[in-house]
Amino acid sequence: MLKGRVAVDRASQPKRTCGSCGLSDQAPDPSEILMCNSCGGAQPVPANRDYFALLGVPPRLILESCALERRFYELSRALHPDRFSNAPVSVRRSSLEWMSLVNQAYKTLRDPMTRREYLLSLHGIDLEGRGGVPLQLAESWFDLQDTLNENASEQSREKVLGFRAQLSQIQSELSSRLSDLDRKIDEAAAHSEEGNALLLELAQALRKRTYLDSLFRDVQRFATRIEAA
Amino acid sequence: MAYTQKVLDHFESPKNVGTLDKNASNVGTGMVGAPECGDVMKLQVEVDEATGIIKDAKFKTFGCGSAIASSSLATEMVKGKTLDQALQIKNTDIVKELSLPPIKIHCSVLAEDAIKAAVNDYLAKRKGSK
Repeated sequence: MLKGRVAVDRASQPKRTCGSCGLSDQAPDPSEILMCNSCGGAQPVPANRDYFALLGVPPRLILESCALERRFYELSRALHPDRFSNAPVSVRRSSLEWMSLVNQAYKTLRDPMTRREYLLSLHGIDLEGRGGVPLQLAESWFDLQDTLNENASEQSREKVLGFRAQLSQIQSELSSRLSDLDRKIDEAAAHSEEGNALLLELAQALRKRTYLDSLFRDVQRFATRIEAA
Repeated sequence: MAYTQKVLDHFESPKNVGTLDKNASNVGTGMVGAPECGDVMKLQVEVDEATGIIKDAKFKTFGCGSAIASSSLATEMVKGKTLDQALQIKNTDIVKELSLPPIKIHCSVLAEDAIKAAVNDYLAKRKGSK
């Protein structure tokens, strides 16, 4: 069982050298993720450690959550600070840092939304930028607000509820679109032109999703008020 | 996160919420979005064509409280200014006035973008009609 854990970690980080004694580890023990077996020196947490590699799963958007969870628990057992209560301070600190990295990695990859954002960030794509604004929907909603302010009739009530239903429909279509993109991105060859285009499409869809969620909250606020009246 | 009193004032009783006739020749409309909170802001300016001074401004927005406060303040700031002066308004002016925390800076950037988009829309309209 320990062997399996080591194999996964070695695959992601094939050659490691102890930062303290310089010994290159040929067969690291899992605990050696944070401590050199030869000299006992603490291994610092590397900057920009790839979460997918750390958790031993392929960098994909569709992941088996049980594989992720299993690896998370394995790493937690190996790295938990409780195991190192008698170790030197540097090792204890290293254990804390590693554990916090593992927690962060698991939290990020477990949720499909943050997983998508993380994968995009690995490709240098962030979600800032001005694209994806649902201009027509926003315009329709602002116009609808104007008619509401003029008269709170039964008709305007219907309109708001109708708009909310339409928006829900658009949101669920976007969710399907996201799942579809997940699959296509996983299937596309890494760094291919097609793959990159799909990633940009995903970023745009995620931006749109944030806008739609925000719009929905606003519509919901009006709808609740109308329904209570 | 705690909002400052000024943000709350603009959020609870925002100034200049509304719509101007976007087809009018002296109205410029800007619609922009910031993906961080999913804020969308529509800002309109009505220009006195004789003097080139912005005589009225309205906005509509959905998103977080800081976005609403930023757009409300932005409409207050542009009123009575010339188009050039309005284009000089910086997001940092809004940050300072509302004491926005770093995580909400993008709301003020959005307001600055909205002002620029509205003024540029008006300028493009005027150029087109000439």
